[in-house]
Amino acid sequence: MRFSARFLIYVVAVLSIAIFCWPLLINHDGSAQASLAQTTFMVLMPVLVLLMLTEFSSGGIDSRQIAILGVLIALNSVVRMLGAGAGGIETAFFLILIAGYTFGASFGYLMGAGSLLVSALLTGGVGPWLPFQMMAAGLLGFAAGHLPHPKRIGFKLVWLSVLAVVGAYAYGALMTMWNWPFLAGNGSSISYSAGAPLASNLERFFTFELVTGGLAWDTGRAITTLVLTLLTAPSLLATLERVARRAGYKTIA
Amino acid sequence: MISIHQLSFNFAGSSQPLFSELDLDFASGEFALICGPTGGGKSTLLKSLNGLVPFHSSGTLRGSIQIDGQTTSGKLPHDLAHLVGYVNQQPEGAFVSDLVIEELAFGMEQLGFATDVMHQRIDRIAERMKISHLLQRPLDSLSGGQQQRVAIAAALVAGQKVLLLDEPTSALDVAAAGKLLHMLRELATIDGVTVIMIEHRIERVLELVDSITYLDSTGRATKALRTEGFDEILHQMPLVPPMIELGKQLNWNPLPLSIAEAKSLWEQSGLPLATPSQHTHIEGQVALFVRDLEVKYDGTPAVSNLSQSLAKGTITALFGENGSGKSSTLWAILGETVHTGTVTLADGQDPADLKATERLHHLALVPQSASDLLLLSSIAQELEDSDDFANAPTGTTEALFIDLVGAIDLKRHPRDLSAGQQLALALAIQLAKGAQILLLDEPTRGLDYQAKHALALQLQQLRANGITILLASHDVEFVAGLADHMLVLEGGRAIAQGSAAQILPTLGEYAPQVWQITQCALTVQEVADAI
Amino acid sequence: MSNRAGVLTTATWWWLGLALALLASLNSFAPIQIAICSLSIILIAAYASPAKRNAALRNYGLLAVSIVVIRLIFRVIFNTYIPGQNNLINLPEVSLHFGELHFAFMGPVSDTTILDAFNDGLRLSAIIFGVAMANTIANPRKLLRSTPSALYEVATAAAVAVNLAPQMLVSIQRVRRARLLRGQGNRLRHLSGLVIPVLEDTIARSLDLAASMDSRGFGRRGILSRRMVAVARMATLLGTVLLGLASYLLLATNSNPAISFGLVAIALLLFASSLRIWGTHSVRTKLVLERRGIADYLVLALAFGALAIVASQSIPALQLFSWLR
Repeated sequence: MRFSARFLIYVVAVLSIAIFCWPLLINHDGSAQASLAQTTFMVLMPVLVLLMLTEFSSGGIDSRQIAILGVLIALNSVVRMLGAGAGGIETAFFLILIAGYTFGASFGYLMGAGSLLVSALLTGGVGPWLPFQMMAAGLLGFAAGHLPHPKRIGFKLVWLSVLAVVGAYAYGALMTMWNWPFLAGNGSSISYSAGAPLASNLERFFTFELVTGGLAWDTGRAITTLVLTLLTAPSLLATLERVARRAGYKTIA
Repeated sequence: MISIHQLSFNFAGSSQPLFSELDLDFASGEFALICGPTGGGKSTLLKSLNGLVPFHSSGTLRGSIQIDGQTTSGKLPHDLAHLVGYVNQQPEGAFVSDLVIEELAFGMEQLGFATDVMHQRIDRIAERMKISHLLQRPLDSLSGGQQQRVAIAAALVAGQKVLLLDEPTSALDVAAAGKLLHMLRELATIDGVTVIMIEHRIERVLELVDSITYLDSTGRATKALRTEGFDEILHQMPLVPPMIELGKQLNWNPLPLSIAEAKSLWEQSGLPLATPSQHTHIEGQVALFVRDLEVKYDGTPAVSNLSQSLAKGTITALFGENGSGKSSTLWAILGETVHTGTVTLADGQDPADLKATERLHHLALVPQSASDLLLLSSIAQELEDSDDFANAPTGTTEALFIDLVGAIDLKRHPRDLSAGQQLALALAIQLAKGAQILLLDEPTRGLDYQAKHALALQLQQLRANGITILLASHDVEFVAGLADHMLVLEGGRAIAQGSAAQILPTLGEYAPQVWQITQCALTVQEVADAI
Repeated sequence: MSNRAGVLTTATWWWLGLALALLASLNSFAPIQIAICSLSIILIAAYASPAKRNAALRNYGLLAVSIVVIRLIFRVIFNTYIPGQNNLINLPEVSLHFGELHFAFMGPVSDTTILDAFNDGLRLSAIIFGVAMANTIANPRKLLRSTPSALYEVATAAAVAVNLAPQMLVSIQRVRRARLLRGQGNRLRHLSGLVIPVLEDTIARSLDLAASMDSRGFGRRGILSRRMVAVARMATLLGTVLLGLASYLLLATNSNPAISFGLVAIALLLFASSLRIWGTHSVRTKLVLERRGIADYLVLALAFGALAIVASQSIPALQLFSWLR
């Protein structure tokens, strides 16, 4: 991809993470100002998602890529629906990692954002949280495309496992960060405190996670993703590569 | 309209060409049939006409193709989309949208038509293909025949002059197939579209097409026009439908192109045949007994009041159209679906009470897509896993498999095998534990005449070894040569039961071709024997 | 979409839902939030197809109630005691010390605390209801058709996925059944044996789909000059920088929010023009199935008019409609 496109993508990625973390960065006290910021960011995130999607498709996506993308997204939605409900058993991420790892960072982002969108469309779970989920999952797939590709399958699994755990916790943290002001509001001992130093806010955030069971949920997600990745990666990586080769489509492994 | 000049194709990495130096022509408004054995290159030839070969496959195409005066070889599919429409076997695999009207618009949107032009053309093609009342319906609510008509409409909506069809009737029942073929005939004659179609069941189309192109297994093509007569090319083809085979055996000249023609030829030949003797088997003990079987899904009955006893060493056919309850019956007998009524094995047990591993000692089922049973990455691994699971000495499954297909490279990936070979592998795996009763769900799907013939031989061999077979199929010709007993299902109920020789003649237009022609024999073999 | 819902286009329903959600988000005046929830409920009852209506009302209603309840409980438990307030409930205070960390729970709860919590919960519920209304009445899958041209490929991938997923579910059931025949059932180590066959089948089928799409003209591209590409990229980059600036101003400084909004508005315009440019890269047209009518324009005008008024009330700095007060 052209350098200018890449640069833009990284800028938008950093900006979106900053927007996720607005409770940590806000410097005002006064809940009116804060709720204004919150509203603005709720509008901005979908715009940023659209931007990323446009940049990734600016080079043109050929129909085979769309087909494989469509299949993997559908599979991910089905897998997610099968695994839904049970606390912390979130099955939606291992495929995103593996897809991004096999086909590259842009495919990974499209896979992540697309999966969250399509499963929301299929299960009716469309809400104000959706653009944030799409961005977070997209960034996860994007990151997977940056992992190194050692020759031995064992080492590949190591890299995938690391991202599985780190990524799952990061996703959890980002989404909880979005939830935080909504659930804990202002003024309670575990709310964010506008203008407070970063360390103190992080402490409150951590407590919030701990107390609301968010940490348990995130750990469940990390474990599920790790286990599923380890179990399925060897055969999935081989299958995807074989199928892609037969269609004349390049993988980055 | 279409000129093919010195066309050759090889797969990537293979020096042996699939076909080479083909020269063919198709006129405007011609309704053309392409037929030949599987693997001979028919699909590849068809796809080369719209660019899908070589651009969606791995291989090299040489030679040139001209359509409507323009050279099209070397052009990408989307650059030919305004000229050539393409419809695959499975229409729902080609749908991109929710509603019929959106699907019809898709092609025109890609080509940049204006909105009011799009509405006009949609109305026109919908009327032509008789789907106007379906425009606002979601695609997944349509029947197979309706979906196929939508796919054809979508392929022609922008005014394309050529229509390519790859086995359009394979998933349809007899009535829907007939309607579709007549519609294609009209598209060619009335609208002047050049329709090129690949079909296996050529008995349905012989009286409708203008030309036959036969692509044999060495990659040579022969073409015959109706005006010159089809006899020569039909004699050239080794495997033909029973109607033609009968004609060949009885030296009819010219060969009949429809059942009606064949009937009059038979009457003229004045061959009175004695009613053939019934195949008498030594009726052995009962291997499986079914009584008052009922299966319900969500309260709707799929199978009701089914009773049958299977004698050891016989082949019984469960005959009926799609949706008549054949699969449900088989899975219920196996014990996997909840049912009421009794199913008893020879030793008095009910298969539903047995654990899966236990059950394989008695009963084995091969499902509709046999490849679902194949999970590992090489044949050798599958065979090993099967021996493991069956607690059988190493090589048991392998022996069964080789028996069925002959020598084969065991390192190959199961999914790279042909449909017939996959079926044989699934059979071997399921029989490894020594089951004496075999249930088969539509085994002839996806098989060409040759593979069906091979399968029939395999099943006859198994019967000779004492295995009892219950076979669900809607392929009457396959059943005619093979089954001892028959059970006809309609809407989940058995509407006829008895020996195959008694039932087959009563099926009216579904009866085997030879019966429809001669009224006294069921297969060509019987006629040949009686003479 | 049910026939009644056809009075407005899909896009209009979603704009309306968005406007309601924004309205809810911008203020914390309980009567407005309640009005938004009620309006959504009434619209769902009147315009959604019967099949979806009951399920939606039940699910979203439950969600809204649980949010308010959870909020209240949270506030009560994680209370900060402010002396001198009117105390409604007197709960004993619980203090926990973990080394240097000190947490205080419960303690006397004032009525303002409870009211605040209730308002906050109501706010989130109203936002959710706004989106829920649009989601229930107008199937978002239809929005895939109205996406800007630049995103056509991605929207197609999503449409393909939405169509494939139910087929895949059927495939998975079929393969599971077949595996039972080999006695392999649901054992975890054979999980890949479930995913692989389904995956291979589906990918093979989807490549067929890709072939069919190409056969119908998918992938035709116009030519976009290098200059236009550069312009589009610059516009996007500039817009992103402005967004970053606006965010910074909003978060970190005490500046007038109107400036940030201005920057955001300019950024959005830049993005829109960049999308336009990317859009000209394709030669595609769109079959227009839903035409906008008077009703659409009226509804949009009302919705965004109300939004503007409420926005100006909540943002003292935006003295746009001060003469309305």
